[in-house]
Amino acid sequence: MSNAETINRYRYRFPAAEEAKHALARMFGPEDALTHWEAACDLGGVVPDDPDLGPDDLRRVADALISGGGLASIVGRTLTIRLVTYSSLAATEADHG
Amino acid sequence: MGDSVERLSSEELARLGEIARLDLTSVEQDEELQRIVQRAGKELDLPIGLVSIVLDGAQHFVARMGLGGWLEEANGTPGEWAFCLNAVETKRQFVVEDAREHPVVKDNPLVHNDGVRCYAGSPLMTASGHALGTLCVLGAEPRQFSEEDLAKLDAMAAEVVAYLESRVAAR
Repeated sequence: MSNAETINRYRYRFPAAEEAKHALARMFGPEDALTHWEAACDLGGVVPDDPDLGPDDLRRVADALISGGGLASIVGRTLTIRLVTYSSLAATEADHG
Repeated sequence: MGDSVERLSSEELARLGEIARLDLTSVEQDEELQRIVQRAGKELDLPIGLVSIVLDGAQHFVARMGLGGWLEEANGTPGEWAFCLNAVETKRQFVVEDAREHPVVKDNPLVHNDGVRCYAGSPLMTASGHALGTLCVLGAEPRQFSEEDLAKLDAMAAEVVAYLESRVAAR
């Protein structure tokens, strides 16, 4: 299953980078959100404005957000849960064909 | 990141700030919290017990008993599927005796795909009046909850909060 596919039984889509950026913006406002995002990408070894960040990249960014603590860690933990949910459900769907 | 994003309310920011203050995003399978969820499951005679922290967009299980599959792997769920959100929003217990009949949760994929049929959750209330999440118990069969059941759950939820505060104070 590609990240573009919705897991139909759950009506659940892949949690793309925009979702996390949006969450940071709701929390911090657009400018500070960008600062948090860029810092987390830097720590995670990810290009911040890469339009095609995959699950491994996003997981590294999420880990970086969590490691920094504070409110941004909440966005990181949320992203992790949503990513693992997607990958785990996708694997189950694949097994069931 | 556009300027048109609606900011979180000050109340919600304060609630999430409490979660961050208590360092709950980094807690997983804490031993004391595990003991409490096991006791909750035993006392209410249900197979699943959780301490769930409701984040912005997900719920995070900082202690769990009786889960398997993707729920165990994710150690949480997307927020839109969280029964616990109801207790957090109202700051009151949320009880579901038969999930397939309950108007709030009957269309939830955790009911249709994962077999959740009954639920009782007590909010984790801080001294500042914020609900962090819940102590909750779940089962795969419909179930009525007595006043005694719910009082026990409330008492154990208070124990959870006291413990979480003590962790921070001990640092």
